[in-house]
Amino acid sequence: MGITLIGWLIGRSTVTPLSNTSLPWIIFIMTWIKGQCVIDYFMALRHAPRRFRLLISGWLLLVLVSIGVIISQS
Amino acid sequence: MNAINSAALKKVPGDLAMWVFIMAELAVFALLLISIALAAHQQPETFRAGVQTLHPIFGLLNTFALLSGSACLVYAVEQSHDYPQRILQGLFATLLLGSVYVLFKSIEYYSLWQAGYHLRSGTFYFLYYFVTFFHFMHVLLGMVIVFVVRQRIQQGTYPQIEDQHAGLESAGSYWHMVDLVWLVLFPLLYLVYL
Repeated sequence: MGITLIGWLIGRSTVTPLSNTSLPWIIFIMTWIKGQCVIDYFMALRHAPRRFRLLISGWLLLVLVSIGVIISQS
Repeated sequence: MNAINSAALKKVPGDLAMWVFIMAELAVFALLLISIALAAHQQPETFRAGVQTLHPIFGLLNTFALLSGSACLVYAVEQSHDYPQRILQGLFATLLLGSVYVLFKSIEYYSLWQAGYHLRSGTFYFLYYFVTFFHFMHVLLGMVIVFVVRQRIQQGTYPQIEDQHAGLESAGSYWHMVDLVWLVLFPLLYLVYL
């Protein structure tokens, strides 16, 4: 929740135009950390078979990197 | 299936069928989330103007509500072998926090609608309503699943404690998936395009 609040403050208090690619990436890295915590601790996949865990973690990484790359092109 | 594989599968929380369903849902959400980014790439000004009309506080509070709901579900799962009363309390708290999400999202939809922003108000609003409402329906389904599991535990209709634990884990896995999707949707709609 702390990461969410920090991300929200960064996103709202500073105007993050699309030309500025660093701030969206910072927000997405924070999102990735939160998402990975959800996968590992809430979904309890840290003890799951490696391939299974990679499937869900891979989804998160793929989506965030895809969005990040698309935004960077703008 | 050999013994090693079945031992490995046992480490996956909940029912494997639920995970197949979750992965199908994640695939659909991936397409929708990337579609938002692609549309914003094509129409940055439309998106920037659209994001300004959203309610950032509701977005933040909804994130807190879903994360807290997930934490309560984890608490319920952890108590599943020892304290039935605590399971019911944890699941009740999850339902309550899910209701908070539903309430805030409904207020947000109502105020946007009142301000004249509809599905046909442009690409941003079409995608906003379509994707967030799709997610909203998943939250409602998650609440139904949690409610049913809670009712079954309260009535003692699970034949064995292991079945109860598997039911709780499956409900939890679904809820956390909905949470995970929101964690990506929230910055994408409320923060990045300001």
